[in-house]
Amino acid sequence: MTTTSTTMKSLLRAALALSAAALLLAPATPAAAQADFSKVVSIGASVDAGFLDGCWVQYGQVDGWTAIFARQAKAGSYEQPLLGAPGAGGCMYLTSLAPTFGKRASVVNPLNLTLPRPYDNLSIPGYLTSYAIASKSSADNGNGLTDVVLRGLGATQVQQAASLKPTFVTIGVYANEALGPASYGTVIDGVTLIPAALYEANYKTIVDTLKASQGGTGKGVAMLLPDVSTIAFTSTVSPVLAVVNGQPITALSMKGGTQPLAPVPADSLLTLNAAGYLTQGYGIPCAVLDAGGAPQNDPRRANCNKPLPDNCDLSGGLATCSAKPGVVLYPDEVALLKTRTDEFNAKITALATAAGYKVFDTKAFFNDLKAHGRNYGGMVVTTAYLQGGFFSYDGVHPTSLGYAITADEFIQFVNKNYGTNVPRVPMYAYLANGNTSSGGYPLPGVTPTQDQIIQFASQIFTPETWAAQKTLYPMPTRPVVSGGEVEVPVVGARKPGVAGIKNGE
Amino acid sequence: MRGNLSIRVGAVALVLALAAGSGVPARAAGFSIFEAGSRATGMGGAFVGVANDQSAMFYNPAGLGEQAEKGKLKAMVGVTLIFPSSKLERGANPYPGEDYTAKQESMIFFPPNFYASYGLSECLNLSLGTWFPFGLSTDWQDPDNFRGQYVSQRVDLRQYSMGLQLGWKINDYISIGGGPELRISDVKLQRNVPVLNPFTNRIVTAAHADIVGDGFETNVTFGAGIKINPTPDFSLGASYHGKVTADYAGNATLYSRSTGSPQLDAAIAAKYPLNKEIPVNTSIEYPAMWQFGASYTFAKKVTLALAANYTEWDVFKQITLAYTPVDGKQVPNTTIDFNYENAWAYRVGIDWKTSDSFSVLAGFVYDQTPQPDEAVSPLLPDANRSGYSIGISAKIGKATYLDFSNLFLFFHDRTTLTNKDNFNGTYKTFADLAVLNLRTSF
Repeated sequence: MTTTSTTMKSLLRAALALSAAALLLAPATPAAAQADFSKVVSIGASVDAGFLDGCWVQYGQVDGWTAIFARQAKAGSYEQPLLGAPGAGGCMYLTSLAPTFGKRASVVNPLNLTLPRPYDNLSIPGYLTSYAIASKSSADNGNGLTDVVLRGLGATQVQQAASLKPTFVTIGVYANEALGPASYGTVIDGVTLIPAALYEANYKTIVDTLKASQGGTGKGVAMLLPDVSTIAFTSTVSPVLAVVNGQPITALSMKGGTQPLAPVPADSLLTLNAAGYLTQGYGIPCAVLDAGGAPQNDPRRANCNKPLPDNCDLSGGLATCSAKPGVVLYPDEVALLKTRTDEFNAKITALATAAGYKVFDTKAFFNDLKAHGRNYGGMVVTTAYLQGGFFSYDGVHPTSLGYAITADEFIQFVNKNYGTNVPRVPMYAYLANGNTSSGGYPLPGVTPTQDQIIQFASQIFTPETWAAQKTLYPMPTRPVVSGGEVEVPVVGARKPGVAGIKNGE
Repeated sequence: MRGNLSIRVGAVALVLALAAGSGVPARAAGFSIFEAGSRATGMGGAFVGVANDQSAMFYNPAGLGEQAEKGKLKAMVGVTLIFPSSKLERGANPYPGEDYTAKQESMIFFPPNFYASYGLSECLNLSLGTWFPFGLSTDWQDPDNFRGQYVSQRVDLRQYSMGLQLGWKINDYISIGGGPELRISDVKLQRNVPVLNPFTNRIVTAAHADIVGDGFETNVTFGAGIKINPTPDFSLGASYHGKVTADYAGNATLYSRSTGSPQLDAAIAAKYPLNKEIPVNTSIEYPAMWQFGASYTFAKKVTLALAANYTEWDVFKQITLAYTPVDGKQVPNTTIDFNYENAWAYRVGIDWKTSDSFSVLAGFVYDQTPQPDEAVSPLLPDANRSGYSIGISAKIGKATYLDFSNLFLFFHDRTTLTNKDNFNGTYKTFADLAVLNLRTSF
């Protein structure tokens, strides 16, 4: 009997322990929601505008990350400067796994132009912090899309956002200050890369303006910049062309355009634009072609032992640079870009936090995404170009699936930081249909002939046509003084007669 | 008598025939199966301190010694009819989505049991028997549209135990028993393989993977038990069944599926050996299990039994599918993480002998799941269970009994929001288990 009562006591103790555990596991009272999503307003650049595949078009816009967030947060009417098909910029579509691409016509066809108030999503592709605070029209910055969004209302992007009296703002990924130099393969401090102090001054104006419109305390989230080496545009084409006896054979270039022809260091980055050169033989040591058994009539032999262009041609400023971008980011350029991006991020963090905004670490998010991808029921989305599903054909901007993943990450961040309960993003439509539009992501709709494929290939990612895309990846223009000396920019100073920085206007 | 015998032989034949075609679902926490006899099931499985029929081989081998009658051959045959009903009651965001529901196919399973013992003396009993200690079967409806198709469409895993045990009643106070167990198992897994179609920006099915164990894997372990009777009415019992590591060799076939893009199809075919048998190896560790319990009989009529069983599920950490290259093409190895935790089940049962030839049984079980939230998936959505059982045992011949019991097993709703494959939602499962046994002695 003693044993029985011991057993009974043990069971009783187990039961009591289970009850206590059940009490401990009872859901805690949720934190009181501290965010009001009745008026969500977004500013930013292309990534915040739903830009993808090198174009700006309705099906991308409606599934941009800010739009998905607004939808999930039940933000009500979230008006965007929607552009009807075929979209602005010429939407790319894949024609072969080579890869080769086709490009749809570029037509600016605004669908929501008569909205009698500023848009809730004021993000503009190609935007810089300097444009956000100073440009009131395309005439101010040379970006034709400015007028599509700001519509001559006489106010800047930030001023229009403030006029809406937002209850919650998303201050987007103003990354073109770093992405521009990266996409041109030309990172020169003070020339293509602005100092952190200038970025800070611009950002301060953004934050101060928005904060003032929200009663003196910022409500919303500011986005940090990703490390540009994590995007497909810079991480896809390997500088290592072959490995012989364990030694990597890398592509050839001339550093700065002046140093002798030499293999680039293996930890350099090549942009997607390098692919066009490599297919023509540029950057390839002729010995590599010989070793690879390339026939004598291989067209690449005409250009082997010639350099990949390191930097763009800066002799005529932005015009000549964009006409002929560089495609190599040497390790010192990559390091400088990373350092400067970290400095920008430190400034954003300090300013946004002081103003009351929460700060979303886009860099950590991209790094994590690059390292681990995201798994949805066995479907693993990664950042790999054309295979991963996160980056669109342009290699810089996410697909709608990528934007949905970003929105989902953002929503979790908002819920955690504001004690809200915004539903996470239902991913099925993005995975199975490419987006949430009726009929899903547009199908290529063509079966190209080989000739067409070659023609398409020659139009995309080749130096000759790069200029056509220059508005997508603008650089903060710095004047180049004749004689080769580079003018060091002065923070906040206006440079009369020079396009670009227009602080204080 | 002759008629009776032919009925018995017929019943045995039927059970064996059924066994040949039976699958086994997951119907005890994790995928162990605790229903190895009708009377035990009727008492909620609280049988380790009772063990007074031949299912003692599973519940407590020491009970065999107490049943020893010199020169007597005793047999017990039966079947457990299992009617499971399982569904994903609602999905969760981000995947498969709040509006999503899915059902498993309606299934009936009938794992059999069979025991035969022979009394070597009045205190030694030799017994041979079979039962199913583990089993798992999940089969989702409309598998090619099921949103969990890339995790699992169908799983069949069963383990059959064949034991040879000796029970020894040392004296009126103490008995022991035990012996080797042959565990025979096989495994099947089916799922689709996804790929991003970069032309359409949609994730599509590249192939259907069908992984089948090659024949049956056989392993050896043992079972043992002890039963102590401080008084004629009061018993304590404990038993143990060892773990086994089953190393399966089998074949996987990746059946090609059109992605809608000939170029992509060609790229996939260049990378994977499609439509060919790909040798694959994997290993599954089946856990050891302890049972502890007591029983007390009031006025020779009513037996109350309590039991707890502890399953060492922490051996079930992961399954790695290792593929052999075919035509120089290597399918990447796949690891499925389970990371189960050791788990307890608590049981209580009653056997009320209403007459010399009739008993009524009832019981309750609370069975704790070993499965962490991360592993709750379409492959096996487990949950804590509360089971209510009823049963009868009727004497239908001179030494022949017919036992019938039914266990209503209510799985608690199981919600995961942290599944490792991000397939989240709430699963709802119920199972009805009817156990029929015929016992006789010759």
